[in-house]
Amino acid sequence: MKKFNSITVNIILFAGVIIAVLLGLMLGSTSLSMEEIWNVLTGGEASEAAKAIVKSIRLPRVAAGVLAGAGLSVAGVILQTIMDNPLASPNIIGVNSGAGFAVLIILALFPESFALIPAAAFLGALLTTFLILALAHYTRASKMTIVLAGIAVSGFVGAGINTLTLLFPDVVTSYNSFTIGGLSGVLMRDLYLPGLCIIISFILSIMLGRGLNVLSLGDDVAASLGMRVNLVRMLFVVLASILAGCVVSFAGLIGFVGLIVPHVCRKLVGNDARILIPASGMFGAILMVVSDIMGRVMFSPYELPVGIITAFLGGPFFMVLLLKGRRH
Amino acid sequence: MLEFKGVYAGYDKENIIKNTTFTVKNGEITVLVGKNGCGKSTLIKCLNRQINIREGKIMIDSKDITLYSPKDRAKKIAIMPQIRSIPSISVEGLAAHGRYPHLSYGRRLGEKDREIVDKALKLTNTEGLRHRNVSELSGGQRQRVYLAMTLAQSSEYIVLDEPAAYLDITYQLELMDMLKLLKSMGRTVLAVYHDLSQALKIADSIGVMENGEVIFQGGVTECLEEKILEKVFRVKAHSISLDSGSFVVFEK
Repeated sequence: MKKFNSITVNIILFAGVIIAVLLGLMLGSTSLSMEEIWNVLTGGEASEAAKAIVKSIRLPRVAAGVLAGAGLSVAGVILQTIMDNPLASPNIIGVNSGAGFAVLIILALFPESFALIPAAAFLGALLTTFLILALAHYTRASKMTIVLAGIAVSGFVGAGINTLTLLFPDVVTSYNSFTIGGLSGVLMRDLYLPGLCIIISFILSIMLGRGLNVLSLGDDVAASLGMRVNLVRMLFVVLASILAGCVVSFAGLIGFVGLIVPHVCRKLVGNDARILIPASGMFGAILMVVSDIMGRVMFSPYELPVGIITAFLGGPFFMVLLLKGRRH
Repeated sequence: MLEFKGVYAGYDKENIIKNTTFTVKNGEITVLVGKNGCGKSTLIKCLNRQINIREGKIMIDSKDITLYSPKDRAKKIAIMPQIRSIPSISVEGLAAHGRYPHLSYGRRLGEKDREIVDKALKLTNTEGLRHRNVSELSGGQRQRVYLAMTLAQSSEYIVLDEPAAYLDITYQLELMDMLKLLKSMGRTVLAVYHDLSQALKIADSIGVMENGEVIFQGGVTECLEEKILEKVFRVKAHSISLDSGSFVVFEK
């Protein structure tokens, strides 16, 4: 149940996103002032170095952070609600195993074609999700069958992943960096298409929020209220897989964000999807951008991938939240 | 009128509901009884199309149920299922979900919707709980909030699957009064009941199910005279008279 005014929380979160983005542009191995960033963005006077750093390194990186954080968090909210399962994350619908398998195939068969990796990750994630959906649909698409079909398909695909890593041992390093997930080296052109898809899915999920609320009352109640339960659930699974699949395409497998952000935001704004989804999206964006800043500043000039930081930050934060909730 | 005409239905290959003919008349309280597993809940699930009918027809006001869109059907029949989740939302919020079939896409709750929700909360004595969280309520309170949600659907037919299950006797009796009140307001009620004495006390028409079939439907007197319940449940029924009316009790 919510403890704060939900509109206030959303306004604060929005301000937080802007601050995080500004910090993301300013901080790094070379720090830039607010003024320099302003000048670069508005086309004013700035040094070539500043222009290069902001435009080709930090801007894509921060944009990727915002999109990845928001996309994974909203996918998490959707999946946790429709599966009625607090542990649900994009993993449950095969996004990770599917993307991983596809990337591995590309690495093994076309070792020079790094440009194919984003598309392969996205397609792998979506294909696996659709395979799971088809299996679940055939058996009446209940919550349980989706989870079980997910386990079956992920297990099968996982075996494929292991086989490939044994047959092509020299691709393991590249594959590992994909599975840890990170935002370094992201290019702006890798973001346009997934970014657009994430924004559209984000808006769609807020617009369909009431449906998500009704679905959370259970299948029987939702059906009695006149909802086509299985159809709506399928629609949300597709939305979640597009969100997560897009993120995987440019950021690899970043864990934990999709799992914890929805829980944190439920405590902040309650369970109404129409408020929870924007709140989770913004909170996820902040978490991801801040984690990425920490990853590149803390051990500079070395960098920690953002996936590691989100887990380091998220774990204890989540634990504190659980303990606090218990005392009330 | 709500009519089941020779209905066969089930999950897998087997039919759980067999050749069932059953009618719910407007303005009456119709009660469905039967042993555990006889198909009562399955019959109810045919009404929200959770289960597809294999043969036969279900008619709502002389129109085949399959011809209604889900939302139009939900405007006609509100069903309170037996299995309900315990959501973490406000009482008011849960009751307001009853307006779902009336909200076209993108339409928010209006003044009139709020009035209807308020009335439903008042009728179920849950007005005072309005801002409480559903997950913090007792079983009896929660049951009443779900009833409020069902009433807020403002449908002609109200279908309740074991509404008295797991409730204290106080709530059970209160619930009977509520159903009578709904009837006096002109609503039509179909309720699955577990407690036979209460079922007989409240029913205008009683349907008895056995092995997926409705083997009897009629008035309470007829049901007792033909000793239907005695055969199905293998019990003996005795009518006893008290100042407040007659009751039926059962023994082995």
